[in-house]
Amino acid sequence: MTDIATEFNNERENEREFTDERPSRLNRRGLLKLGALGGLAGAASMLTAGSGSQAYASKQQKSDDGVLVTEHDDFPVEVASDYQRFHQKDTAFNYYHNHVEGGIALFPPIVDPNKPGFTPIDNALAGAAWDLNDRLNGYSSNTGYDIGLFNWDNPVYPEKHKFNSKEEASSVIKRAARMFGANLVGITAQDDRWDYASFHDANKQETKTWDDFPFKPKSVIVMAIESDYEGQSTAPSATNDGIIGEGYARMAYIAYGVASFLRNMGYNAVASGNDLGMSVPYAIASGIGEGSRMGLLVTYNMGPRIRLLKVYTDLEFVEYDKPKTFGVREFCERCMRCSDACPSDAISHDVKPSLYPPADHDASTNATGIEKWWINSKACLQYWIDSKTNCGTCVTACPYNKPDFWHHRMIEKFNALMPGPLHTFMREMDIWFGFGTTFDEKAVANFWNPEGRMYDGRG
Amino acid sequence: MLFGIFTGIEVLFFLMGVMSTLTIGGLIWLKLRHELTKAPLGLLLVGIFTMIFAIGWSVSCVLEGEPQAGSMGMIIMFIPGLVLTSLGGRMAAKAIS
Repeated sequence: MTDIATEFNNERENEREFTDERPSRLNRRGLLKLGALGGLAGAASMLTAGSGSQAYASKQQKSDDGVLVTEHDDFPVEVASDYQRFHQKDTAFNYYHNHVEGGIALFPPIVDPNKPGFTPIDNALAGAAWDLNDRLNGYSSNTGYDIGLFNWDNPVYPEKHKFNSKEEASSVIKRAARMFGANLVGITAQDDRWDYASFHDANKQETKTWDDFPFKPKSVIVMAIESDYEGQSTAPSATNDGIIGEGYARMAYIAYGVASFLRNMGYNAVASGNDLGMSVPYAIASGIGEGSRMGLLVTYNMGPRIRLLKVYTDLEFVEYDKPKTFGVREFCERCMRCSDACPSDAISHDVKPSLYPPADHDASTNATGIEKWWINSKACLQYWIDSKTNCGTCVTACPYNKPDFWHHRMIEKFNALMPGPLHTFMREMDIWFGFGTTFDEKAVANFWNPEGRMYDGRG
Repeated sequence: MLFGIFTGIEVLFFLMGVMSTLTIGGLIWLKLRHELTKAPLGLLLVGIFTMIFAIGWSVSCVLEGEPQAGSMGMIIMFIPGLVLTSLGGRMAAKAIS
């Protein structure tokens, strides 16, 4: 080992405080089912002739797998020419921190100790998860930056590793991310539009810009991690808050691991949660999902039941992923389950997304000039405060929020083929089949139910 | 797990494979042995595969912890499959007799 490497490792030691990469294709079970259902798919294709969804898809380039996932050369959402970059201080989290006494510090969320989902056990779960998160990244995810594992200044190995090809660099990074625990990984170019124009620490009342950042990022690695389905089904509850807090903690842990991996190869890299830039457009650009009515990313196999994390790096010699769509936008136009379920009526019921908010919409905490459905994020967070939860009702209600089972992947594929009226039918069937029930006390009992669970490795 | 080896979904797909094989074999036997026309054979084919699909759907729903979806699958898919199979079976029995 060279002296320079030894020095680097020593420095790193002093500062230390603490599945196979699978492309977006059908997996083994999905292939089996698709083969068995080829005839049905053909019939469905005939049904969709001339449908809006097909017309939309026909403009795009088909992906390698050729089955209903469309790859795009450009960002697949319209952005206005006068789009203005968003500032971190304008997020709803910062708004509430600055304008509401006590901010959004909610825990322990004692509502009614006898109410399912809010018992001392549920509260302890939530408190423990957020305690873990606070240990790892403090309040960096929502109202700060450069905190905990999302810190900016870390030692970088002084010699850059040379990759043989961009494909190799991409593959290596994704495999490492999967090892650290990321479910989905996409890589895209840094884009000023999605980065905060300035950073704001609401606790310190301190603002910085990219000029203060230790390097000029060239690429952004975007990752998604899955949240527990049964826990998510309890929303809104302290039980679900535990799921959310645990997800936030893992965000920091995984992002830091991937960033450190890059730093060990000689590239600058900084881990990021909700800070530095807007995660959803970056996730869309990196091809791991589509935007949705509720403003959250919908992924192919986990729907919106995910948390997003990023790594900013100056590594440029890497293959970028293309954005992908699979019919979420068309489905959202007719579904509206999230809008109907939202207890604060914060999610738009407009059929079509729009570049700018309606005249009566308070967009002071929204990025404008990008085509989307408009969220009243102040009303959303007000409900968090009133209910003493992190809510999550929209995620639970979304028909894309399903366990990763073959029959859901099949339905989602058919959704991409179906004409609009059948989306309404699918939404109704989703309700009839009992999916997406919110404020469900039985879901809390199911989450804690020991029946059918073995913890010794046998099942 | 079955025998501590196979997961529920693995057992399910194995049994669905067995049922599909028996169905296709049975229909071929009916066609060759009794020279049934396309109508009863088609009804039996669609009906039985609908029922097999319904079983796959419903068992999967139970395995993932959504029993209501499993029950609805039996009502929405299995019963129509049963009706189609019954119709096909009656037509086949009539033709054979």
